Amino acid sequence: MGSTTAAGTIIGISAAHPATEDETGYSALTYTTIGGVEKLGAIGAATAKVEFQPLSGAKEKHKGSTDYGSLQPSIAHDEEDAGQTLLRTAAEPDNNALYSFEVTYPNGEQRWSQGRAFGYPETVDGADSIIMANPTIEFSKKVVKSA
Amino acid sequence: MTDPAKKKAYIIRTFKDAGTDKTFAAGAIEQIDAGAFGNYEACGFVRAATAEDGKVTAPKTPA
Repeated sequence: MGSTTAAGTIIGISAAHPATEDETGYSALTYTTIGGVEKLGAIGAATAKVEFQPLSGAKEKHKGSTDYGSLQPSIAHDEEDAGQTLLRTAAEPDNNALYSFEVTYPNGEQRWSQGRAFGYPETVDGADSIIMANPTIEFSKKVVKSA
Repeated sequence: MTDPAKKKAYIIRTFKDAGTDKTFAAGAIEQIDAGAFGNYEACGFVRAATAEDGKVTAPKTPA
């Protein structure tokens, strides 16, 4: 598929976990769309670089631990939106449960992972602005891509 | 793909699902897909309807 703008991207959240952590398992879940999303942020893992400089030869670079990344979506706060409310529930300080997330691009490609929400701060700016929420979702599982 | 099982839900407070464009009114009884019911229940919007709750009402959709 060719490149695309982000317009039409959807993110959904599920309180359930997949039977298998692959496209089949994730796509079998029911996700509730998080409404009012302005932007999502970067999706994907980052691997630490471990360097070793032998006495003889060039520097070696090895792959270390992997961080499956995080999302910092910007959302227009809506108390009645089911997806936002589930995300707020996930973000409760005493809630350590993993939630499943599904991102669908406008060209149909999908990404899935599981993570925890670390906070749901609400930003009240000037009079001519929307009250926004900026939660942080930290992924603990591999980001699965649709075939 | 088979239709997912439905659950009879009592709507605790009014909410809307951005993905389906459906609004659910507080106090109503609705038949909701089991997967969606789990998500709605997890955030406190619905509970399983009991015999004391009213009849099933039609889902609300925007005009």
